[in-house]
Amino acid sequence: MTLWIEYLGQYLGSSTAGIGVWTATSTAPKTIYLNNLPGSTTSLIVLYPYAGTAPDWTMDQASIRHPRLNIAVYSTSADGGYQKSIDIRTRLDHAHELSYPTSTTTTIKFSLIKALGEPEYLGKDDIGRGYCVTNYDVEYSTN
Amino acid sequence: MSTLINGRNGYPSIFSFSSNGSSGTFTDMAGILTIVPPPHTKGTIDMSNHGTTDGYDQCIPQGITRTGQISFTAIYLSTNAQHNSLVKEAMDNGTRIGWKITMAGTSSNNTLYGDGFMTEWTPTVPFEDKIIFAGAIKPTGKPVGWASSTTT
Repeated sequence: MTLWIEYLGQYLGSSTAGIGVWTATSTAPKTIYLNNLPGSTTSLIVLYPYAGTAPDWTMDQASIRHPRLNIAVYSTSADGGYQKSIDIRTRLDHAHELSYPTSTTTTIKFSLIKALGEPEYLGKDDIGRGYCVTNYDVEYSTN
Repeated sequence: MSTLINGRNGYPSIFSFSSNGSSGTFTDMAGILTIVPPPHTKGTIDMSNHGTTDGYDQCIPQGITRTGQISFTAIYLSTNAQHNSLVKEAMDNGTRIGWKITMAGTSSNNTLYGDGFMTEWTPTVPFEDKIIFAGAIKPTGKPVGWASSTTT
């Protein structure tokens, strides 16, 4: 089973703005990760889902879920990943009606994704990369 | 299990306005913040009498279905013709206007439209916030929808 957060990784990776690579190829190494900051010195994006708010319940046991998402951009660029964070915000903020998987019957739909604030620059890590974080509110339901 | 996957978030919905009834040309209104479609209500006529069975009241429906006011709010854009003149003029002149609400989501059963008259145009100028205006419309006749498409 594919996690909701993995579909958003796909969504970021499919951006024509060149945000990052979710599924690595022979020529493009992976740059978007989930819950894991690899031991690499390159520029990376890491998706960290967190608790969010309680789901909206219905009497027939279905629910609309409201997790939240923290996106950390680690970057060797001079701006410490701020521009990349803006590009991600442009892709995600107010994205709506995203249905996945795209190749078979829809099993999950993201009705709305909202930025909860602006990208925040948090300085440099121990190998000199700048990093920025941005938080998002996600609303989705499943079949 | 229900299919909540077909549920819809309100964003991005559209409010459209025509200054020549719903047979005219609709133009989407800019800067819309909220849209409240018209309520529909139907009253009843009490038919209870001394012969009423088991002591429970009885009624029949009234003939007329009443529609309530459509209301909307928008960020005021001073260069927008709808905002700076057309909406208010429609109220001043008593012009029959057209209204159309297109809810967010997939295209099925998402449009409600009809004729009506402007009944409110209320700008708000706060001390430390954006200027907005509220409008209201009293529909006349039966609204069409929710429909999958419109003929206008």
